Amino acid sequence: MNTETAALGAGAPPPAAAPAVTGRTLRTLIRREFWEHTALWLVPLIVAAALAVVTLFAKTIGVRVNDVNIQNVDEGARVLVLNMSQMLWVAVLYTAAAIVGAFVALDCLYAERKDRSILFWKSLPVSDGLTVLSKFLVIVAVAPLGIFLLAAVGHLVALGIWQARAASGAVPDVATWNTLAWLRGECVILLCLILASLWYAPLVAAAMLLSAWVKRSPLLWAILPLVLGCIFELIVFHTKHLWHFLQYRSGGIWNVLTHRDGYSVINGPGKLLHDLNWAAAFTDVDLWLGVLAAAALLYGAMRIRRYRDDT
Amino acid sequence: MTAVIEARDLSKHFGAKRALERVSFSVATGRIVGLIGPNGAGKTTALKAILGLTPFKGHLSVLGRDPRTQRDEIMRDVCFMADVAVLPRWLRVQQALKYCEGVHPRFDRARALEFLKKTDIQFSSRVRELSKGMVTQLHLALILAIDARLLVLDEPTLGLDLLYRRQFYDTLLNDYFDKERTILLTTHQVEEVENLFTDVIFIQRGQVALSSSVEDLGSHYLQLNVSADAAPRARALKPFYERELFGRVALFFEGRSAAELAPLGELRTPSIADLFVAKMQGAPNA
Repeated sequence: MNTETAALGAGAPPPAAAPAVTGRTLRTLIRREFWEHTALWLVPLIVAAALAVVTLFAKTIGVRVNDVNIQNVDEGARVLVLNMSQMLWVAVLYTAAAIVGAFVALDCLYAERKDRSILFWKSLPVSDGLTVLSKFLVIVAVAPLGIFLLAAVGHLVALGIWQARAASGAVPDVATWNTLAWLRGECVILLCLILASLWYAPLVAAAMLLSAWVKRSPLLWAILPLVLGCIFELIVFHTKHLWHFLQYRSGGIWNVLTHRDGYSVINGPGKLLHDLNWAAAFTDVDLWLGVLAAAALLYGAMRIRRYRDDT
Repeated sequence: MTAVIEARDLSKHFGAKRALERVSFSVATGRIVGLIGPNGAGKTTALKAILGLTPFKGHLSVLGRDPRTQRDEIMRDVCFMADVAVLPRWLRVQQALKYCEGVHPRFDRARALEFLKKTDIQFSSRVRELSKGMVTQLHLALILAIDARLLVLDEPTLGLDLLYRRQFYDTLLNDYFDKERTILLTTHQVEEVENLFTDVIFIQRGQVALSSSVEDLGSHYLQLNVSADAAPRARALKPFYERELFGRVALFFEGRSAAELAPLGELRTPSIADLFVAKMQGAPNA
């Protein structure tokens, strides 16, 4: 019993509260996000289905393979096609998921205030910290993991379709199966997805802070101040520091990953696991400063949600 | 009797506006307490302070805990239902059940299903597809299934028709309430629920105008109905409020004995609704 309670003489000691079931609660909160934001799973599924349909009906794989004597495509080139198509699947699905994720981050703490459902969510024993964390985890961990799995399965299905069509002579036989190369490709993808989640974490957290804070139009608040800031800086100071910072926070880590001693390390998609500068990327100071900033921004979002009362 | 809520000198200001000003009251276990006041009196602010939804000044203890610092613990034993429109419109009925089951250690799914079976609510429906009455039924089903010690209801039947309102309170009383549980309720429709209350707290302009058990009201407040001719004699005993009705005058007294007033006319214990109007419109102890 705290001193204040004792001073009040509020009767018997606090009754034993029901045991906390944080793990189960977190799983439920994560499911909740997918119920509310159906685009989180629907959009990647639709995009994956579209890619599979393209594989079913496409006549070429984008390069002018019809002009090439297919019999002369060697084994190495076929493995490259395997890896390239693997990466293509992830790139397309991740781009779609990132766009959805940005909208979800801006909406997730705003919509519940707008429709007053926050009063329902807060009527249940779920802390603001766990709520904010669950929404963040959905965007930076659960959705990317889903994309990783969907891309892997989708690519295998597409590869199967292509090979079947190639066997019947409908399309050129340009890819081959190579388990080791495929596994290397999956490793590269997984590491890149982890790196992306860490690098973009502060952007997601900033969007969530805005979502918890603004009274209306979080999307406008996310874009307009940055655009106006860049224009203002350019006109008044004739500099582009803000613009360069935004550019850096968008793709800076990929520059680190793909360079060593100032030179590009890319020597084709088959050797990425070996070639890419993983050590520099994962020990990048700005990467971890960004993670710290994300933690601070999430804490801010949690505090705002805790005490904000505009219902 | 154990106090479920203890408020002492509770204050909340919104800028220059004083929503609550040094409010003190106590709610004991096993009571159904009506928190009654006109619009803007501070009822919802008091409920939000109790639920840890808004910062405040003063001392407040809910189930022995401080809502400012122990909100998460408090909410394991407290259920809250604001007006009917707070269930998210995208939520499906089955999702609402799964969600509550997943986050509330004291949610009994079977109990919720039992109640929902008596309604026309489809499990696959989204909240936006349900009528206002059905949304309330759904919310009530969720609440009935939670083994909470304190239930806080803020205008729970606002905008519902009479049938749904009656059903809501009947269910609450018959299927939910017992002597181990406490209900704190704000409502505008005092006449409909006054038989439900065991205690009332009137709030006016951010201050407690009255706090009493219903059984004690009769010994403190009396309503005297007299003819217009007899009214001057009754007025000499300083009623704090009076009103005319069909040529007769109803005078409301505080702290007068029945023996003193009975010879002057028809004496009765005022209804909570009448007493509320009298307290809100009359000058106390005039």
